[in-house]
Amino acid sequence: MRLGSGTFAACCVVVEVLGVVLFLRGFFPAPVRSSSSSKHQAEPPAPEPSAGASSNWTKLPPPLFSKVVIVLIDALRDDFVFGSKGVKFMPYTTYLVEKGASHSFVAEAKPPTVTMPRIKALMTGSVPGFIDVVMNLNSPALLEDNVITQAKAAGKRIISYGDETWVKLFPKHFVEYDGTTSFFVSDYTEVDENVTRHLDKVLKRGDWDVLILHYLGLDHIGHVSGPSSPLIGRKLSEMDGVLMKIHTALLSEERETLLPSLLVLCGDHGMSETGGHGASSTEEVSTPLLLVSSAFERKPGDIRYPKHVQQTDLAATLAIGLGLPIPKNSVGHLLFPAIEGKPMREQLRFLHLNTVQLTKLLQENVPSFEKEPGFEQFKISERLHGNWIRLYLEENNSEVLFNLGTKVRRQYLDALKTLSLSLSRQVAQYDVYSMVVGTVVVLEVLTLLLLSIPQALSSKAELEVPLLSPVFSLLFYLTFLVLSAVHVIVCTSTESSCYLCSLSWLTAGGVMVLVSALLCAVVSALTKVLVRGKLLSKNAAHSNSRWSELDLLILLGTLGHVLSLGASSFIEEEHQTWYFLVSTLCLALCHDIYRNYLPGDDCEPQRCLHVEGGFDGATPALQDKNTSSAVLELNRGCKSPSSLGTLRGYEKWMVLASPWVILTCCRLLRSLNQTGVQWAHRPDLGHWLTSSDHKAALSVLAALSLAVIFALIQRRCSPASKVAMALGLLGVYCYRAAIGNVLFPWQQDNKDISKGILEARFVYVFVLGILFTGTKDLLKSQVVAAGFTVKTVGLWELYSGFVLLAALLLRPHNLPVLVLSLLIQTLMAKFVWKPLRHDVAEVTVMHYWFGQAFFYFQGNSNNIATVDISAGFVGLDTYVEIPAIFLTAFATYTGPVLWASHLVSFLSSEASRITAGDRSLDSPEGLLEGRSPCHRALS
Amino acid sequence: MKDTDIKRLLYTHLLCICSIILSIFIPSFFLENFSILETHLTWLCICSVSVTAVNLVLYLVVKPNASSKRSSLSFKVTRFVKCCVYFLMSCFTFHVIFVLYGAPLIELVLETFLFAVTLSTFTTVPCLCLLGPNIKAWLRVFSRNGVTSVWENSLQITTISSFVGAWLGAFPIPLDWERPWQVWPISCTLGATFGYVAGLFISPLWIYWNRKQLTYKNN
Repeated sequence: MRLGSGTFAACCVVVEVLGVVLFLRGFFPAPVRSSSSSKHQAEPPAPEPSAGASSNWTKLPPPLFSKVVIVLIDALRDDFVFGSKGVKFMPYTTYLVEKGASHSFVAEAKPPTVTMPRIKALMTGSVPGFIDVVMNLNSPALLEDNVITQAKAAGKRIISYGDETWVKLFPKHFVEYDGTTSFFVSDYTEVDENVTRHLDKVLKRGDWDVLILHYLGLDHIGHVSGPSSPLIGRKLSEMDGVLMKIHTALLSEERETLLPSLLVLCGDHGMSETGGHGASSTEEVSTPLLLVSSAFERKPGDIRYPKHVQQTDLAATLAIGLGLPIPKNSVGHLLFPAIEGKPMREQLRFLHLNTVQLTKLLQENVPSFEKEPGFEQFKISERLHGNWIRLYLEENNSEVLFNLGTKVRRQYLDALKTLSLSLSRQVAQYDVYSMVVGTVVVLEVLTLLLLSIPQALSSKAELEVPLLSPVFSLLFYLTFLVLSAVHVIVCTSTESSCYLCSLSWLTAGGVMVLVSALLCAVVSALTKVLVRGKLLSKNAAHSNSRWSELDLLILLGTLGHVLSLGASSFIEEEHQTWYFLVSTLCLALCHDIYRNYLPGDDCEPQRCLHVEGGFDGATPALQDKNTSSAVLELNRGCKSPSSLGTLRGYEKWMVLASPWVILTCCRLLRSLNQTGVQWAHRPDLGHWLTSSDHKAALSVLAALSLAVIFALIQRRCSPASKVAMALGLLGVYCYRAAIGNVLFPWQQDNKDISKGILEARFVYVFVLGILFTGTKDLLKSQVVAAGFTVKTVGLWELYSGFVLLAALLLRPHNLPVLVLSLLIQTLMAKFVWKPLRHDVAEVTVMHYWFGQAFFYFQGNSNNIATVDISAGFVGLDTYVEIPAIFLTAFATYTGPVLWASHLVSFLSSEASRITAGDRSLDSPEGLLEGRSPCHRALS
Repeated sequence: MKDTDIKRLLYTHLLCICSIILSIFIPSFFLENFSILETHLTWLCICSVSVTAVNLVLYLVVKPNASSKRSSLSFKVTRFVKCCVYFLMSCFTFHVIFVLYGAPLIELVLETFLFAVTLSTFTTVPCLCLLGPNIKAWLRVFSRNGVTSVWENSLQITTISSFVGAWLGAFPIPLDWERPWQVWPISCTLGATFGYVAGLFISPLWIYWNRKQLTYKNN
């Protein structure tokens, strides 16, 4: 069957995506779940174990605390409370930690350290997967068993103020709530005042059982100005005041009730040195956890150091404290100090409940749970516990009872620790089988693509896909049989769960067929290439592909970058690699230019002649790649003396200066945004510009940038889109002024900050208009065959539409990135690629390098914390999923997308230029066709 | 003729290597707490001075290129001044290039500049000695098939290997090994030095190995 190369590429991409999905499914572990989690009916609580004599205590123990207040401060790092900052700014909390009736812990949050998964972990006690990061933007209701749902079922009245994630996670759970949104990161006072303003009323009223306060201000400060900002101290003092108010109110109320109340201070995640969060560095995962209650009285001189615990432990503790069943999926264990003051019988009862719950979870998730050490410990301690109960009911000597009780308690605590550990480890297990199958699929498709490149880029841009032969080949059936056997063996012998095995037999068989068919296709393509290679090598030795230094650099650089990803530091600092490579590329181009331009080089004519000879040798073999490569080589061979000699004086100087200009631009951009890990805290221009003192400078810069963008982009647009572009860029400035990022000269104080919906939608209209005209031109050129000029104009319009959208979405201090990207593209196209006539492959790889470098110039990094989610809300009233995801993705990948679209339009314009101006060449067809598959694949 | 040339080349290169090695060990007899890493700047100064001196002496003694026809004193003086200007210019150019590559603009200026001086000693000084202040000759030597003698060939190899060494020297900086030499510009200067020494070693061997293939156009 013959396929166009575009179709072939599309098929390959689809299969590739399938492989990657399979791999990711194996790589990201499925969360530990209790199978009975779907049905919510309450199981009877486990009765107290007893040996012989029957115990009469089968109901759940009563609650320990009458009221629980949870104060969750977003991005509260442990040293903000326990470190020097805490001593300085939070005197009341420090007093509670050091002398008060409290227990303090350092709770370790599991990555991803993003708010929603962390709230889930705190309330369900389970470890949410990475997939929850995607859901963080739009939190669906939590269906898993959790403390809040249990509390509601038990008739507790819950009130929530603060981050609206709570309201989304637990709809209809709260008798009263006021959600604050976390997406206006620049607001860090009002967002907290909206929480605190309810406090007095609520504390006085006292008709509630659980109060949840989620303060977002600290996180916002972290995002805007980092953990060492002076704003942090002010915010911490404010939080300290809030805590004092709550604590005194609780204490005064306690006198009237019998049971004490509990105040919980915790953070959902920490804050990295740059102020972001999401990854797994120590600063991001350590959060303070402070339990304050008059039940935790301590004698003077009793010094309690903060112990290291897991964040998931809070759920079990809260459930016990409120007299609720422990959430089924909780992997945490009870914080023992919280129940230390209770009588021995109750202590043991709580520990037993927790152990039973963990053991049940273990039984449902680990097939061979009987071999687990935790399970054995559980059995032993349960038996001991039974003995203790019997002694207790017989009212034995209290000394013996106490000693035995201590032993049982230690046994239980050990069992809890082991169980919790093995359950958490279960979460971190990879599904190796699925990963291997996914990798195999990906690698096979990749090889197939590589092998078919010469054929796909040939003059016909078509290739023979051997579809029938694999079906009848012996190899196909053999591999299929072997794979099926392997599948059966793996699925019957494996201990842990495995995604492929859980699929139906038909689907798994389909995957096997795919793998073996791909293998056959690869083998047949390989033999073809080998046969052709032999023929070619017999034919002629004309393929004297002398690599220029530039080619060598491009190849080694790309390869070196791939290899560098083996070291984790190089992944963290990937931007350094790209900056380094791009600078080197500029210097290499400079070297190329100077060698070609400056006189005194007498070997050039020889080279030209030499390659011309090669071209003659190549002409007979017109049908495949030889043509295109020979034409390219011809171009390259003759380029230097002719092209640069004919340039006018001004252009000559521009050619000579452009690499230096580009290098300077790159250096400027480099100091605009510091990213990565090691040097991320360094001061940079971006922070200087965004600080409120320099708003005027930012406004001037933004206005200037927009003007330069217009000047650079308009030269090849049609008149209509020129006007649209100008209006659109004006709209961008108005939008930024409306949301308070920049100023108009006539408006000195910005009182009315709006969401800028109208202005943003005004720009969207022009973006869509420009994109529409571009698509129309493209379609026209495809249907009417109007030639390359129409197509080029269409592609350029598409490109300018993207530029306008990027100008709208990028933060104003990042507009120089856009400007310099356009400038570099213009310079490169006009003064480097055209005069030096680099071939398609070189131009493509250079675009790729620059695109990658610009990804990092924008301030991105390989850390999820640097994604700017505010771009997803430009021009939208509320959160709408599809546009928000699209806009965020576009804003994040602006650099690569712009360079890719520039590549397409540049190659198309080059092709049209060559057809128009250079008809003397024997066969430009090969050259053009060689480029067109690339267009097709991209457009 | 050629074999003797190669032999002379080898000896001069060995002397250069010796000068670098001595610059590491000799100063510790005279200076307190001298070590390459801790008193890096001092070492850079000593190393570049000694390499320059050795290069100049060797140039005067060996006289690799045919002496120029005019040898009046004023001509020599202008030539020397020109060489100095060229050397300074190359230092500043390297400094600018380092900054463009990402070296800090304001902090560590002295360090960056001394690195530029060192790299200039490894590359520009031999060029100046051998080719004189003559840009066209430089361009000829550093373009493909442009060398006309064993000396120029070795010059090409040592210069390129110093550059490549300095370039590769930047790679360990982002790694988190926390070694004292992973600091700008120590790893780069060490890389440049290693590259230069390697070039000095390799070039005579390589020329000797390929002496049959190498045919130099005599001008």
